[in-house]
Amino acid sequence: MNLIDALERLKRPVPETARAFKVFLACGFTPLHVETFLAAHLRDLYPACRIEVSSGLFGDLIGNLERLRPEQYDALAVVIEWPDLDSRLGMRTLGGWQIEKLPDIVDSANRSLERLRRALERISSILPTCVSLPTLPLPPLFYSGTRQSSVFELSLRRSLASFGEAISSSRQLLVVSEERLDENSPLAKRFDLRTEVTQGFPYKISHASVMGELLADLIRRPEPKKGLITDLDDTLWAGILGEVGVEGIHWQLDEHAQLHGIYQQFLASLASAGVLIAAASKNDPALVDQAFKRDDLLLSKTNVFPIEAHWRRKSESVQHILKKWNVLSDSVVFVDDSPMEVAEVQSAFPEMECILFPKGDYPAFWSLLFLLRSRFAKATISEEDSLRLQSIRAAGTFGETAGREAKSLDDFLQEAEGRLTFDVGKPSGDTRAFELVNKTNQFNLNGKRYDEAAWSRLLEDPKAYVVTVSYEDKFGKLGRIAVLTGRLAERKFIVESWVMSCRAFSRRIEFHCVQYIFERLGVDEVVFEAHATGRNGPLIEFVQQLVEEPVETNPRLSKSSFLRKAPKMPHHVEEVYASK
Amino acid sequence: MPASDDERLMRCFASVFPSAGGGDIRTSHFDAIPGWDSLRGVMLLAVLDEEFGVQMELPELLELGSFAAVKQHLTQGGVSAQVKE
Repeated sequence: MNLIDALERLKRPVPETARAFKVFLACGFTPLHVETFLAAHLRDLYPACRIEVSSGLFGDLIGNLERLRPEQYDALAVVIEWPDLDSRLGMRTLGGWQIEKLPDIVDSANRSLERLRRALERISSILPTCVSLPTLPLPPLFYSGTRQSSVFELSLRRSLASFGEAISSSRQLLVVSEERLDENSPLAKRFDLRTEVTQGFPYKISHASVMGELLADLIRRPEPKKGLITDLDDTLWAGILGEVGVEGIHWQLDEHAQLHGIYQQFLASLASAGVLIAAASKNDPALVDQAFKRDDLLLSKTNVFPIEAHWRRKSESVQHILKKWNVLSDSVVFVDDSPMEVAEVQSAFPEMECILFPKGDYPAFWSLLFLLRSRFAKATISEEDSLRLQSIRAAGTFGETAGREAKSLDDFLQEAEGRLTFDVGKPSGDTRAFELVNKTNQFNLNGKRYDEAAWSRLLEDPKAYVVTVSYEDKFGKLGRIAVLTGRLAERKFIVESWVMSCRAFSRRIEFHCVQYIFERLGVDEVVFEAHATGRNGPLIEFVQQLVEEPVETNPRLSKSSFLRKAPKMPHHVEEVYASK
Repeated sequence: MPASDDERLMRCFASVFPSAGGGDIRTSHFDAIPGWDSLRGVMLLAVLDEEFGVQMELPELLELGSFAAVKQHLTQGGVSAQVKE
């Protein structure tokens, strides 16, 4: 995006009723075009909001942060440059670069970093924050020349790296990737001495554009994809299994098949971070089963579920996998080496990202790894991420056992020995509830989403209830599977948002949730702020079977009506209260 | 894409002064353009640099003082032979 495009984007009218999205841009220089690009990119990412970017005093980055009142904003973007650590590292002050001053410059920078760390620690516990570490070259103040790194320069960089590591441990604080920055804005094309001296703005326009985009992308991270479906022959491994046999497929360097080994290693890494991995292959299922028994495979069979191996269409396999996972096609990536198969699946699932595996094309393969890493990017990994595949397998066993044994659902659920735990506290350091509310589509009361600042405000609101529900039974642990938020209004409880993971369907957990509200909160009536989103059919059907009014009219449910309509509640219920 | 450099220049001004009409921009001294301040001046310098590859300082721009003078300056400086008079 160039500057004129950014300015024109900001001219587009915003509806008067649009919610303000307030961002504080903290930097020590005149924010000028960084502010313009940041606002323009945020306009694209938050089309329903009125973007308001404000900044503080010139030349006082740390003071601006120390004075910041985080509750007044939705996000914070911090752009640090060397002069913010010591003004002698910039070109607008003349404090001297003599040799005897260098140790003091390093000491002074360390003290500034400590102040910055403390300020960011305070703010990022409340406000989503993204930080860019210095992007500009150090001025030529070191006596060792330009080919050799000076001990002072290395000392400064070590302090900066420690600072970056320390602040990135905060859950709500994200540090801009230096590698991405290097890729999009080469070091030699970032600094503009002329505008630094004459305007107090040190960036070339192109660098400001990249910075604005990166900061906006961190403020509004896209929802990560949930699963990857991979082909096997000439994708997960080199060779056609049906032709070369189990021992003839390769993925090793000495067999000229290293890219397939790297791909396996990459998928195993994704799986360990909670990404669902499945295989779809036109193959002999018995042979595939044998191939997955090879103990030198880098992607364990336990990490791949389900494996669809048969001779029918790939789209049919994908359909089965989506059903087993119970996820929508737009949250899945499909990878196959055959252009025809990619086209067939893409045609059947237009919203799915379908990617051709670049056999033997090293640059394209390198790009693929980065593309996949970005599609599945998560700021943190939760316990549920490690449980996800296990619980989906368990759900499969659950369903199969229920069907096979032909018992009544009541009996089956009773024998499942389900245990529900209702957590009525508001654990502010826990990301799972926030993630669940923001990514659940099917069992979702109204599609309401929260950004991190709004979620923090909800957690801080003493009148708001946030109930998190965990489940496990003899088939396995599902972890935290439902979140319900709302408020008391006399003898009523108004449910403002309610989501439940699709993995927990068909267990009557939803009835337990409503029962819990009536019993725990002692209300006579529950009001559902329901809204059909086009994707939340299961929730709408559930509410509709309980209430008399249309779901779009915030229907009410009385306790007596609920007790009349609710089926038998099969699970043991416990309650805990997490500390704030 | 605008057909002429005159339109390109107009686009630069209009992007920096969104609340000003085309008439205001073409006929007024900078001081009279709605929204004019030194910050907008610096933005205009950056947009002109990006669009025409011309680097000016704020005092120079202020001395030119108007759309017509900037247009003439660009033409005389050989920035573009196509800037219309």
